Amino acid sequence: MKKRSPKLYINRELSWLEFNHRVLEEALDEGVPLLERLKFLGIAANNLDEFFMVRAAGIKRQIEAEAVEPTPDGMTPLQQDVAISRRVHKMVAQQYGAFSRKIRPALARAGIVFAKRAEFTEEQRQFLRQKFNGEVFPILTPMAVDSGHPFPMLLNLTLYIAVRLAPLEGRRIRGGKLAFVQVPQVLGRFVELPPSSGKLTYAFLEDVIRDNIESLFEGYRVMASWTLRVTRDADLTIDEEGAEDLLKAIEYQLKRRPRGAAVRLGIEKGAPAQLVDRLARELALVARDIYHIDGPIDMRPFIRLAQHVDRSDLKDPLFPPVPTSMEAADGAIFKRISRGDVLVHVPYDSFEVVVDFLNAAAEDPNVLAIKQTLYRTTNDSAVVKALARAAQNGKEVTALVELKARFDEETNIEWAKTLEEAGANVVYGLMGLKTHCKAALVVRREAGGIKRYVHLSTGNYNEVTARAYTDIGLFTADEDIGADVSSLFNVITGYSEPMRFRKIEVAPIGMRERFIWLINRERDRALAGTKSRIIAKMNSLVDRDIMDALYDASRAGVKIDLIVRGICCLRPGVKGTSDRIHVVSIVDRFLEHTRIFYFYNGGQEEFYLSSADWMPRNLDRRIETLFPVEDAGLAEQLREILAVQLADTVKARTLTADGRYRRVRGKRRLRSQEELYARRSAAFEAGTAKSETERRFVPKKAPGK
Amino acid sequence: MSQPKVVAAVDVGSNSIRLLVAEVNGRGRTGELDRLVVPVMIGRDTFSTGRISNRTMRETADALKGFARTMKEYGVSHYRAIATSAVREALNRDTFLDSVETASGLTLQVVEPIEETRLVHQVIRRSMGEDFMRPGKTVMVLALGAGSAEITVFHEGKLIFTETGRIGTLRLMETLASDASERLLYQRLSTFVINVASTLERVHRVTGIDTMVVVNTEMHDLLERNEFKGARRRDDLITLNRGTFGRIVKRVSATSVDERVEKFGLGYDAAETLYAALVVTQSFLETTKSKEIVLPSVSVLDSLLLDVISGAGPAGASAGFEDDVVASAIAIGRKYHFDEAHSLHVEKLAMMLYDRLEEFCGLKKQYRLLLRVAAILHDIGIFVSTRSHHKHSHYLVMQSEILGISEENIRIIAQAARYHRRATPRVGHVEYWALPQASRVAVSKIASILRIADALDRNHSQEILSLDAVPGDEELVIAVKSKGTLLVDEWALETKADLFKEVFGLSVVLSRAQ
Repeated sequence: MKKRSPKLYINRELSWLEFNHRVLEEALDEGVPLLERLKFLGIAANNLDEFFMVRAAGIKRQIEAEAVEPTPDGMTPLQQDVAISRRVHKMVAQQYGAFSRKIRPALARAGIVFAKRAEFTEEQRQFLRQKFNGEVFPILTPMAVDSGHPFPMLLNLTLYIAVRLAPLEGRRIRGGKLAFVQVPQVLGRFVELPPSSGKLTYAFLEDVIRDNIESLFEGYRVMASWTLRVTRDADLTIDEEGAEDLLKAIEYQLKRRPRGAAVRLGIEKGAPAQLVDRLARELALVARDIYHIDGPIDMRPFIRLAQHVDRSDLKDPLFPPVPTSMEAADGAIFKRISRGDVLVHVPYDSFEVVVDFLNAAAEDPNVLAIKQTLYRTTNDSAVVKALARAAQNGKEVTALVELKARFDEETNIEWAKTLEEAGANVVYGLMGLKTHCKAALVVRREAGGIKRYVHLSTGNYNEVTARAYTDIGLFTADEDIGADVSSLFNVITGYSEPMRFRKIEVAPIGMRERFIWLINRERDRALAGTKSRIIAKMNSLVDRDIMDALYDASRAGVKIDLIVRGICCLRPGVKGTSDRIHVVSIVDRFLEHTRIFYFYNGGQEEFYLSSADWMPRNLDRRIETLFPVEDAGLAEQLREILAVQLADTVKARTLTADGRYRRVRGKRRLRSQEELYARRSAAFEAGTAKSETERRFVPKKAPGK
Repeated sequence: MSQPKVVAAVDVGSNSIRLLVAEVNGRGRTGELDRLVVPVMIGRDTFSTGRISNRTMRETADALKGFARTMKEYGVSHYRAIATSAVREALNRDTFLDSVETASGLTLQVVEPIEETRLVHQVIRRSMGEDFMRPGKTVMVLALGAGSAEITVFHEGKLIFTETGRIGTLRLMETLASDASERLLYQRLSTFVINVASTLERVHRVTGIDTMVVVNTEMHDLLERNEFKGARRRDDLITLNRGTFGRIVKRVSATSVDERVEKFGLGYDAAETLYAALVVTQSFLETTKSKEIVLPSVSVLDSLLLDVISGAGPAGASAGFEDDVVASAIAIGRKYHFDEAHSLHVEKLAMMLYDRLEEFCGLKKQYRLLLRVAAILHDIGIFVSTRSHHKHSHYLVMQSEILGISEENIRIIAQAARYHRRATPRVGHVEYWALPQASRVAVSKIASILRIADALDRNHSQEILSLDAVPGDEELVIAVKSKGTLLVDEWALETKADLFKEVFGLSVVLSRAQ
């Protein structure tokens, strides 16, 4: 690999933090409805938790191992650790500032009150005491720290109350005695109080406990208490080679996850230095790992609460998903797909059609086999139910369950068991490779012979995320793609070594090479003086080789638009290197998740969809697919999506050469997600939604006839 | 609704286990549905230690389990699964077969080298088409597997020569690895190659080969996955001339195994054995002075699938192939200087009898070819000695490799030849006793007809022109058209029809046709 200047690259961790900052900006944005802002506070907090458990923890492990190898942008692990801490401290301050100075008061004015402990009325106190005695007290277990009790294991992401105690009688202990009380997670974070002056009022559970904490420590006086929370290294390291039973190995690791090395401590502002020092010592943390928090530690529960509170006036207007009209009964869905490919763009389009497809396959007497990847799926998933029923109906069902999907391992183990009991063939993917591609294959016996129906998608078979993440799925009966997907399943089930694919590309076999080839093809066109163009939309851009190919293409004169929602290590606008590369990021109500790739190809334009980002982990350590959208009508849909996103003047930010993101200013106000939904539903309203995908097959009629 | 049938073929080879699933419609057109390959190095075990290790057995069982599942997913109605040399030659082959069959539920058939060859020829005939039979054309087929190499020579589409050498690629590499020097490899190789070439010249008057067809996985992968200047692709064939091949060998031998994996996109195992494959091919090429090399891009699997489609089993060879089998038998006969006119006449009479008696005697379809070969070879023992020549015929046949005839069936043919005269089969005869029940029935029935046919040309003068056989309640009347008297034949029949009476309960009576 050619060595290029580190200045050409942006640090991956810091770029991710900038993404999270953009999420936080949604919470700061006065134009966003209040409860959505509250939700974004929770999302930003949740993102940070995951970041610390995986990325920051990884960097700490490198420091531990005394690694000094710099990143492509030239930072050592220690430099990154310091920079992360600095950036996150600033971010947390902003986050809590937004909550206490803006959102909390505004919500109170709008009739939703988060009561402060100091401001509880006597009436409220009484109510809470009852609640405490009846529901909370019985499940609390205080853990004292003294010579007979070692420092307790503070579990990952769990809220604790540290209590300073003084004995009422006998020997006095200098500085008092220390104890911890775990705030139970089963009760829910918010206790609803009787409404006062018509306002919905909540108390935080930790405040309820602290208000009544004396009753836990008989014979002691509670001098003071503070809330705190530890984040631990939670990356699963599973020795697959030695694991006879992957399912068991992961179950075991999951049980150990709460006990990984501590990487961050969040503690209530004002906690005494003595306590903080003790905690730092016990947890082996340094000053920069400690965050003094002025407000409720752990904002994740705001996500649930914001969804739960029934105040549509404080939420985004509903975008009810537009149904894709495909009749499912009696094999009609298969006939429809046979007639032509279908694209489903969630959450604008309803995810329902995917479930319909699987249900139809489960019931159809001519269907022989169903194969399906499951990466992240939901509790009570309709997809899994359909597969289980198909297995019970005697179909050959193969489910590729990715047990290693981060933070979803437990759910996935459950589903694996359910499916196995139904008689499906459940496989757990390949050693050392996560199965990240999203594919479903239905093998059907028809008059003309065996026919394959395929659904390939950029996102998971997950009904819940399908309402919040944008993803595109392609239904096709294309013979080549069908054969390719069969081969793909043969590979990921371990039934065969890889064969040559006809139309799709598969990581880690040849996807990076294919992308670079496609980029170089544009570069060569530009060098030859002909028109060239690349538009690529993805979640993250980290891969060195691809970035370098893009730099070369830009230098050759290719105009490149990148729509990168999250991390982008590519530095655009560098003179002589990336002048022609333009990077935008869109963060809005739906999480941008589609991966769309467009190449001008001398006028023979090509559109691709993929489950992969341009990241080494996708291209090297995961099974991913890249598939073409060949139908001209569907290609137009993709062109429209890209065009609308590039025209966004509300939720889009441009990445500048200095690594900062600036809001796009435009004369015309265009919020791409709103616009895409409006177009989609207008088309549906006009009754053309149905014929849109079918128009090639319907003879043109004069309107009104 | 008459839906296309879905069929499958499984090949448990030396380096890999393969599955091909295809569908066939009413008009016999096939469409490939799926192809699976799992690399399992059975050959590495067998050719180095003689036994298949437990680990390899497990890997095979796992692969076949996956195949069985895949076959179920496509609703496969018929399949054929074969295992070749690596399994055939393993000392623990029965344990291996039992364990993988139990695990997968698939039934594997261990095929003889020559049967492998038949499968290969079937493909070559199809992909070469008319060119294969072109007047004056001589084609040498080198089927180079991991364990052995099969050489077959065709002239104008007819088989004239066949030979097997234990010079498979993996075997050569294993030999090399175990302290034998490279020189030894070449020596062993050139002895075999020179033998083949000189036999061809001496016995069959073949002095030049027009086309050499090479059937070999490593070279196939190399040429399929890479573009070489001078390599022409046409339909299912890749064609190169000798110069082009030489340049390819040069390029490949200048690379390390790792480089071959990287540069040529080969699997690691193929990259290792590729060198041996090229060396073997080159030495044949140079000795035979063949003008061009042709590589079919279809495999044994495709051929196996043809078998499944046509319903042909291992013994019931396809129609075109029956001629090759007969040619192969005649070539063996010539080797032992048989009385060709007599043998072929007996063959003709035996066939007439078979066709008349098939239904009455409850003869199975596959017996026809076995009877035919037995008739051709029944007297080859005379080469050793006229006395007890039937016994010599027995072991000579046992030692022969007849194209497309399995080991089991060779045994039947050999015993049918053994019982063409003198004693009738009885359990006291060890070889007969050792046969499975079904084979004993086959031997008795085939030999009973062969004895009659032989009796009808007792004086080796081919006087009987045609015959009809009519079974009655107590007698089988054979009406013949003959240019001679029937005295000798009648007398011979009296002694030789005993077995027929024993087996079918009818005495045989000869009469002249009106």
